Order: sequence, then structure tokens, then C-alpha cells
Amino acid sequence: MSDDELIWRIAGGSGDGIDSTSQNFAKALMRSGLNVFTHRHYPSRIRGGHTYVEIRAAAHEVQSRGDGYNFLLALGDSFARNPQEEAYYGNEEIKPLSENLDDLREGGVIIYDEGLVSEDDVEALDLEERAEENDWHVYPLDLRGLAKEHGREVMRNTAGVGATAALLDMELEHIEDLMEDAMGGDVLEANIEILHEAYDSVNEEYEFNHDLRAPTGEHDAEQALLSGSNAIAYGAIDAGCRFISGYPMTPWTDVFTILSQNFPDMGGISEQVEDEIAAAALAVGASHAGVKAMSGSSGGGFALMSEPLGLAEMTETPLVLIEAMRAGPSTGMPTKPEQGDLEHVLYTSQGDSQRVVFAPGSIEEAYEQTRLAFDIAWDYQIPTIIVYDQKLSGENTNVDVEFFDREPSPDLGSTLTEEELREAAHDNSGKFKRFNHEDAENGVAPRSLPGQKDGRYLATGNEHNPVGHISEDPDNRVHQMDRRLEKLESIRTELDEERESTQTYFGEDDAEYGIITWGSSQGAVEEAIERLNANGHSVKGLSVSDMVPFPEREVTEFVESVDEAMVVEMNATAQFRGLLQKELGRFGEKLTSLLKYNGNPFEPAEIVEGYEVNLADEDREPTAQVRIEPAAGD
Amino acid sequence: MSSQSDVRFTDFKSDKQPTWCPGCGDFGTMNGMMKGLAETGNDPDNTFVVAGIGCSGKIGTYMHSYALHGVHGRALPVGTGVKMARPDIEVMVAGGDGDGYSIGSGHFVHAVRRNVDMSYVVMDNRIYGLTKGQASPTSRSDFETSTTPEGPKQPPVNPLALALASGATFIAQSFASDALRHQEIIQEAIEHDGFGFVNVFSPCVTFNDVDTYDYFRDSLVDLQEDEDHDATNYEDAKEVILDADKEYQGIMYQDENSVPYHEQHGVTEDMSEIPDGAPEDAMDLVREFY
Repeated sequence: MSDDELIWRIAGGSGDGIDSTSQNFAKALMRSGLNVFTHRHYPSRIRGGHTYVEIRAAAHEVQSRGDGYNFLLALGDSFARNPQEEAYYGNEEIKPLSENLDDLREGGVIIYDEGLVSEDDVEALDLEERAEENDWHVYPLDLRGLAKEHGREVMRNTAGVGATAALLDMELEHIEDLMEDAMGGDVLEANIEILHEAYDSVNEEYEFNHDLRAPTGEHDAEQALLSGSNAIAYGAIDAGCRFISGYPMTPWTDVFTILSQNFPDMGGISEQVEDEIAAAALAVGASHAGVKAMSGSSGGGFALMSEPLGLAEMTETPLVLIEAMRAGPSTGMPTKPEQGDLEHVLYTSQGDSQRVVFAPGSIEEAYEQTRLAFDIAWDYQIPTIIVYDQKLSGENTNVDVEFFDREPSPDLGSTLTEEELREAAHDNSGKFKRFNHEDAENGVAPRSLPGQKDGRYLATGNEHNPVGHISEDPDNRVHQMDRRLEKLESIRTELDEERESTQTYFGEDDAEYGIITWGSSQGAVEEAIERLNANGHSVKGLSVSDMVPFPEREVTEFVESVDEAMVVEMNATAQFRGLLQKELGRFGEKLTSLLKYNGNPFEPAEIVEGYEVNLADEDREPTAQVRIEPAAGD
Repeated sequence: MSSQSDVRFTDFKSDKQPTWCPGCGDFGTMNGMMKGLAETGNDPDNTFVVAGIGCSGKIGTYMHSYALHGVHGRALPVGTGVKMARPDIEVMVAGGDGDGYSIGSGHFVHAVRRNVDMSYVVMDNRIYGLTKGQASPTSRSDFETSTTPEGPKQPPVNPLALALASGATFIAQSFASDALRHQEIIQEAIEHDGFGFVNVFSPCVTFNDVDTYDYFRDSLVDLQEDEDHDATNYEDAKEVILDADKEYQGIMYQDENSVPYHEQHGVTEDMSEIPDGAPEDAMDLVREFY
């Protein structure tokens, strides 16, 4: 636990403007020179319900939410109130304060809105007693009254930010600049007034008795605050993708929205369709016709894509699909993260699966692997899936803008020109041998595009001969199947030999123990390993981002180099460890899983504790809501 | 694209001999499609045929254009993707009554309202043929089949009414055996600015002994011969489409003000080329998040 960091939690009702307020406050902290990381917790409803956003800010790198937090701004849930009169529904309004106290660190600061919660409710919380016990510093402020006096009641967010800035000894400059970017006219004027009023009144009324202050830092390059969804969308844009079809589903909707807003200006198309079957099928059609196309969904919608995904495999149509996981099965917990759809994306659709699957573990990797997904899909004519989750989708962190200074890569991969088509093999009737296993390189038989002369052929979901005609000939079947599967081996070779590895390593090479993870748990694992090593343990980490084709060499070397390893993932059935054991066929005796599936992502301390219980053999049960499970073959 | 004179309908014909039963309505339906495409000046290199699954789905194999034989019920969304991405390509989607009105009925409704400029030819034989004779969504309610021993006991779907209710801009019906009229109607559908939907009576000689050639020959009323029917008049269209007593051939409805998808959305370019001057780089977008 670091003393030089701020973890600010703003809590209130869903629809109270928590998102926009926290986004701007995070940017203000970033502009002041800090690294920031945001974590969003919200219910599946439009208004009301308990929601919070956490912003972790420090001069050092922050790649995950912290353990607990140290500053609470409890706004009071206005939507818990009957809008007709000021009657309460039970004690809902106190929830932003009452439900957030458990994770507040010792020495933490609390602001709550006196104007929205009753004294009785606060008394019922034993707040005074608990504050004393935990050395919390409580500042009750009438944010609502202040907002009403200078503007409108809804502007109490701004009052809360002003009060926060005062208590943290921050300057208002960046916050004001961001307000000016976002609003104008009377609304801006009122908000600026409220901001200053809150800032000044806190400074005047209170003598501060807390130690927490905003950390200071400095960036040496231009920054931007992005989410994993932004990174995936921008990766697609830079890869030359100009077609997206989709159906809304949380959390996939973020990527769909970003591209829908940008594609029209780029000569691209975005279409919201009737269901996810159509979404993926439209993308197959567009790709088949020569445009870089994508679709995506979350678990339930992705299930509907099985059919077009299989069609893309069989017709060797390049395609990128995005799967934004949320807790399942079925509707599960729509707004909660989980890494429970790995097996779903690996195997869904009938027959032997012939697809590439990437699982980025950070915002940079999300951009990098999305671009790679398009390159691979178009070079090898194979569907490629990016699987990530609600956590990576909604977390924002600051990234160097320069990171995105890349050349776009719009080329269509292994596609022939009309001149090349004239020379290519055709059957007696003049059909182009588009699925010609004889001349294929790395399993890839180059394709033609509609409109080209000498390129006509049939694409079909049936097994087919070189010109695409349906064939159940055993020799042809084996040739075609082997050729399609050969692509996966060729892709592995390319990734190993020609590309920079997207697997991420932490710690010292010669460490005794290992922690293996995948996808969005990467940041928390990185921080846990730093802490373990600082506490005298000898641990290194591997975060795997290539699921298919599996990075066999890298993972084997890692597991061989340690005495034992713990596999950390956010699901209940150890899906990634299962994949690892299936791919490597050994190491059961070395592996134990640390699993979490309660709807909240791992905090670093939970991984530290899991390690101590598990590998350092401390004789106790973990206190966190996690499960430890030895590997098959142990 | 070649001029009308150099393309003959046989250019659209593949060397594969159809495996349809002798006498199948699909022969006539396909001939009309090929002739219609040739007659409207389309070149096979520039034509994309998307087919579903079932007897009708095999049409992609028998036509020598670019073609995709996809997944049962999903021909329309694949064809939609092709045409959206490439307005320069002539797209014709073909399927059967099961493909279009049962498993793919959701796509049908939305393809109709999206009004993408392509044609959709449904070979309606009121039976599932390839799986050897089960009821289809257009089978009569008392039509006895292996899976509906006493008949489906539910009314058949009226695909024309479904199209009208979904906001169709072109609704027609033809009969595979009336070669000339069938071809003319297909041509109208191809030339229509928007989604040209033709339901074709395409009898199954093996499994359907009710909706036969004779039945259609005897009962069909050609709207061309009805001087009172004005296809551009919505009320006229409604009247014939909802008339349960007769089987009609001809163009039921055509919206003269139809604006196809690509015009609505301002897409005129071949999308495989990224237009000059468009932002191609994500970095400018990223900067906005400071």
C-alpha cells in the first residue's frame, strides 16, 4: 500500500453524472502530471441504484485499482427520492455513504452531502465511532444547498469536486479548463461559481486534520485518458477497418459506439442490425466484398455469432470479432467483469475450430493486438477474435499520445490483382481455383474480390473443392482441412519469429515462483508481484495475451523456470489453466489456480494473499472472496 | 460493366448440372434470374449471388457469377454486407420459403425496411424438400407431412403482407413455369431502386401434391391484366396482398419514391478504397482525450 497515492471514490446514484464528473476529475489529475487509473462500478439500470467510480492517481505508474481507497465523496443518491416531494424511499439516500465505508483505508477522508442525507441516517451508521476507530476525517457539507443557491441542484457534483480540491490542496486551474471544454453559457458560469464557492467555504470553515494531499508529478510527454474500448476502436481504425455491424450489449456497446461515431467521417459504414447473427453475417459479406470489416458483442450476443463465425472459418473470409466478457452464464451479471467466456470464444460453432484468439491485458495491448488481429485475419484469411472484459472496457488510464503515432495499414492481405488472376489456376469452365491447396503457402490460398475479371468462384459453408464446389471426396476433405489448420501453425511461427511478443513478463528472470495470468487481470498481477518481491519473496510473472495459436514455447520456458506457479484468473472453472494444460500436456504438479468470480476484479492485495497462502504455504484461509484450486494432474 | 449486347444469359450458367429433381420449379426460377441479370446489362464478373440452405441454396453452384452459399436463413444479412460495402456490385439473394420466412424471418423484416439496393428471390414451394417433406411456413394449415401428421394447424405466413408491413418498396410474385412473365418481374426487381422482393411459386414435384404446377396454372391471376390495379398505389397493393381467396402474379407494389440505403447514407464509393482526405489515423482522435 502506497502512501503517495490518492484513490478518490465518488459515489451516488446511477444517472447522477458520476461518470462525467469523475472523467473530468481524472483528466484534471492527469493534466497536473499524475498517472491515473479509473475503475467503474455500476448497476444495470438507467437511473438510480448505487454506483461509484474510483480514480487512482500517483506519480508512479498505476495499472490497476488499488486496495481499498482513501477519499470518499458521497453525493447522496437523488434518484432514491420521490421527485414529487422530498419523501425518502427507505434509507436509500444514505447508501453512497453507508455502502462505501468498508473499503475506506485508515486515515481516509470523507465528504458527504449533508443536504441530502438525514442526521438520523448518519447516526444509525455509527459514523463517529467508526471514524475514530479508523482515523477517518469526516467533512459533512451541504453540497446540495450550495448548488441550489448558485445554480441548480444537479450541480452538487461540482460542489463536491470543489470541496475535494480544497481538502487535497489542489489548484482549480485544470478543473476549470475542463469545464470550459465541456460546457458553456449560464451552465458554465454557475458551475464555476459553485466550484469556487465550495473550494473557498471548505478552506474557510474547516481546519484540516487529515494528512492526505494530492500527490504531485510530471509527465514528459503528451497524455490522453483512454479506455480499453477506445484502444480497440483506434486499433481498428489504424488497421484500415471501415465497416462495423452490431447490436447493442453491455459492455461491447462502447466499441460499437466509438466506431459508429467516427466511421461516417472516414467514408466508412456502421450499421445497427436486428441481432448478432446478422451483425456477424453483414461483416462476413462486407469482408468478402473487399472491405476490412468487424463485428462484436458480449457473451450472449457472441453465442448468436457462432454460425457466421463458422461460415467465415469455412469460406476463409477475413473477419475480426470482439468479445467483451461480462459475468455469465446466461444474462449473468451484465455490468460486472469476468473472464468466463474464454472457452466460449475458443470453441463455439460446430466442427474443429479454426480461428485466432487474442486477449489483450492493457490499453496499449488492446490497440496493438487489435491491429495485429486485422493483419493476421487478412493475411491468413481467418477469423480473429479479441476477447477482453468489462474491466478493461471501462477502465481509463493515461497513455502517451505518441504511442498512437503509427502508419495505418489498410492493405487487404493475400488478395490477387486481375493480372495475377489471369495467370492463376482455373478449372475447365473458367472458375478460379480460390481454394487451391496445391499452390498454397503457409496454408493460405490467395483470393479474388467480386468485380475482378477471371476471379469468379463459389464460397460455401459446405466442404468444397478448389473452385468452391461442394465436395465430400475424402482426399479433398483432408487436403482442405489440413491446409486451413496449417495457417495456425504458420501464424504461431510468424508471431514467434517476426513479431514482438505480446506476452508480458514481470519480475526477475531467476525468481523461484511464478504467477501466470491473462487478459485484464494483468495490471493487478504486476502490482502484486512488485509488492511480493518488496516483501522478500522471489516471484516473477507472465501475462499471456495470445490464446490461439497458443504461445507454447514462451509458456513452457516460463513454467519450466519456476518451482511452482499460481494461475490467476477471473472465473470459477480455471478456463485458462485448462487451456494451458491442454496445450502443453503437462505441469499439473506445478500449477494452482487463484480464482475470483464475485463480480469484482482482483485487487493486488488479494493476489498477494493468495500467493502467501498458496505458494508460501502460510497456514491460513484467504480472507478475500477467492478460491484456490490445484490443477488437474496435481 | 459490359454493355447489354455482349452478355448472354448462358454466361451466368455454371458447368455444374443441377441435382434438383426433374421438373423442379427451381429450374425455371433460375433461368429467369440468369436471363433477368443478362437482360438488365449485368456482367457475371460484377454480379454476386448469395444463396441460403436447402434446394434453393444450391443455386450458387449452378450460376457462374461470384457467389456465396452460406448459412440457413442468413443469406440476406450476408448479401446486405456485400452490397453495403460495394454499391458497384449487383447483388441478388436467393433462398427458399423456409430460409426466408421461418429461420430467417427476422432478417427478412429488417432487410425489407433497410431497403438496400438488391433483389431477393424466394423460391416458394410451400414445403421443406431437401429434408424430405416437412411443413414450411407457407404450407397450408391442413397440409399433412411427416412432422405435422395432421397438418401444421396454423395459418401460413403471408410473405407479401409481411413485406408490406415492414415498409417494402417493391413487392412482386411470379410463377416459375410462366417463363416470360417471371423473367420480366425479376428484371423489374433488379432495376428497382431499393430492395426488390419477388416471391416465386416454384413447385416441388416430389413432396408437395397440393401446391402443384396445375394448381398455380389454374388459379393464378396476372395483375398485368387487371387494369384497375395500380402498383404505385398503396391501397391497391394492400387489397391484392391481403386477398386470401386468390393467388396473384405480377407487381403488387412499387414505391416510386424509394431511396435505397446507400443514397440515404451517402455511400457512393467502392468502400474498398479509403477516400482521399479522410482521417486515417487514430492519433488525432486520441488527442481529444486530453
